Amino acid sequence: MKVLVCLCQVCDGEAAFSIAPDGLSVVPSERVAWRMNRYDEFALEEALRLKDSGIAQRVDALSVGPLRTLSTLRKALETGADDAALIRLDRPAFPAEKAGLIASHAAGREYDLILAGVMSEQGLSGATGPMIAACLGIPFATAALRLEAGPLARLVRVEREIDSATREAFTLTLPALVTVQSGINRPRYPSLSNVMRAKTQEIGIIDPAPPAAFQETPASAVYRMPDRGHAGLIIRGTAGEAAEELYRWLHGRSLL
Amino acid sequence: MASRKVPVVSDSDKKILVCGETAGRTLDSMTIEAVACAERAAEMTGASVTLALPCADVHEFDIMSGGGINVIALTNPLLKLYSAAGYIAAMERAVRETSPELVLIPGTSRGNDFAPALAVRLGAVFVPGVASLKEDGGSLVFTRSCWHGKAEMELKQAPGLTVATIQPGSFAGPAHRRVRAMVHEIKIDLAIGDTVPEGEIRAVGEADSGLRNAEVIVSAGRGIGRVENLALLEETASLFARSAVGASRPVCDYGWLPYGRQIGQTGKQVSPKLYMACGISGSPQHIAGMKSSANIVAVNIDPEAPIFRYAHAGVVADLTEFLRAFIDLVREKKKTGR
Ligand SMILES: Cc1cc2nc3c(=O)[nH]c(=O)nc-3n(C[C@H](O)[C@H](O)[C@H](O)COP(=O)(O)OP(=O)(O)OC[C@H]3O[C@@H](n4cnc5c(N)ncnc54)[C@H](O)[C@@H]3O)c2cc1C
Ligand SMILES: Nc1ncnc2c1ncn2[C@@H]1O[C@H](COP(=O)(O)O)[C@@H](O)[C@H]1O
Repeated sequence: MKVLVCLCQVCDGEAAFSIAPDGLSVVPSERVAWRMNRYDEFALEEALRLKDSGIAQRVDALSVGPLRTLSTLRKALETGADDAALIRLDRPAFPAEKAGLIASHAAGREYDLILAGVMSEQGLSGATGPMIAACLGIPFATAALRLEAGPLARLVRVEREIDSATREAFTLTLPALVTVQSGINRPRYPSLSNVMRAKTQEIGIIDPAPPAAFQETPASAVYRMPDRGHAGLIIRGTAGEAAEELYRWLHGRSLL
Repeated sequence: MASRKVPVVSDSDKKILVCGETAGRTLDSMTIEAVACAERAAEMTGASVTLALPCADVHEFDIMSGGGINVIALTNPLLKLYSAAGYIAAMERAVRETSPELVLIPGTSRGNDFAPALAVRLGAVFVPGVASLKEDGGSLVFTRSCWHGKAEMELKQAPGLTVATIQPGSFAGPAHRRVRAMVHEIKIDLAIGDTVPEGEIRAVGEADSGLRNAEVIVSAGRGIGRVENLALLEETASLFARSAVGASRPVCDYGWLPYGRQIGQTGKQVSPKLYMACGISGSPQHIAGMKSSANIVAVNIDPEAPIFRYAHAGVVADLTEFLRAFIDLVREKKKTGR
């Protein structure tokens, strides 16, 4: 089995950012540290487990993004992916466009299974995975909490999450796409041998051909900071002062 | 198969199609929310609302609606079990029947599963996780959360078709009166394809986490940093009567607490007298499970954390230092009886 894992690079939620004056983009501060989307760590781990158990022979990692994304692909190689490629795109894109680019890359490369994360922590769309499947016309399931494949049958069995107490199971005929929900496994750390191998391994950079399949982007997207919401009490100060102030607040509401 | 257009209640030619999920004879609570959202959009644009129900067979549904609503049931025995392929086929048919400008899909686990692929199939613009709506020059503007929940994106409805999912908990307005709607049935063709559903699996013996009956919930997020710090949250909870410790999803993913304690969209929905979120950023998925709590307190080191927008009182501090001081203080006050 040949597996493709789609990885996106995100920054931490705590990272400083601003909104461009024209409102058309979010600008992270320059010192931001970029890392792999956590859901994609779970997807990569799932792929590597298929390889460990002899079901997958090859695991490739793929990202769409600017050159800084190479560090996340390098991390995937260090963690155990066999190969990595970057579809270079220097501006942010909506899921439909990313899915179109990934689908046209994957088409003809004969992947049996494409894995993605359930959602990007940064963009919060949760759309790219099923959109890739729709572009390729292959079956899919999202939010997998269990993925089972055998060495021979051209099938995977997926349990997808409905909520913390309920799942539903599907059998998909390969080729198929599955998005992975957090908690499905415990992602591994890079091994020394893979880190050494990844040091010198080349990562292919692809300049995107215009996506063949699908490119429907919203006409206008404007970013803004949300309203303050409740103008709640904000407590600062030393731990002792803050504790005292919260105590008074709770006491005033008969909560303590 | 009859392809006549569905009769509409409003004479407007603008249409909004809502996809419903049914839970037995009643509509799923998220479907009721999606209808509420559609009716708000309809008020702004003068559109009519049609509810499409992919299902195995038609029966009468109790539908909560503010006014007239058209209901079409897309039926096929295979729709007894959910599958993305089945729902996509049903909704493609419903779109052909009604020619809407907007298809609204509840942001449930299943809605999030099939909606993006449906949008691709229909060549539609896709807007995930709509949290609010407004009107601008006759067009709808959707607001959704992005950038780790810290920024918002406003998307103006483009000409053509838009498919949008609704962020759970965003349109749960006042309950409407109950209307018994006429259901127009459309039988659809479906074949078992390359996706075979087996049906639902329920977790057995999920421990009662005590969250349901708790009046005070102290919740742990990833910001607690280490499992050892859970003790601080347990001590904080013990300062209150009828209290329990809850968690955000990552805390359960790490195995620090069982999934029975998870609060949010895919966990428990709670509304205690006091909800105290410690080291929780306030993602839309977490907020969906606790935003109706009577009093919300957030403890977070990041003054920009989205949770502060929902908090009635917010403490900007390192939670370990703060909680230690808070526990000592409350114990002292209890001892001295004041
Ligand atoms: C389909 C789907 C369903 C989901 N369902 C749920 C759900 O039901 N419930 C849920 O919770 N999540 C759910 N999630 C996950 C959700 O998107 C977020 O990833 C999650 O809620 C984040 O949890 P968190 O706030 O604990 O962690 P983070 O977002 O990582 O936030 C940690 C916070 O801790 C703060 N912090 C760090 N150190 C300290 C310190 N020393 N003192 C004080 N504060 C500190 C940080 O400033 C930050 O704000 C779901 C996701 C998907 C895709
Ligand atoms: N730029 C990207 N490159 C590769 N894969 C991506 C990219 N963006 C999103 N994905 C994949 O799609 C999933 C969902 O992302 P999103 O639809 O943006 O929430 C992610 O977890 C990744 O697996």
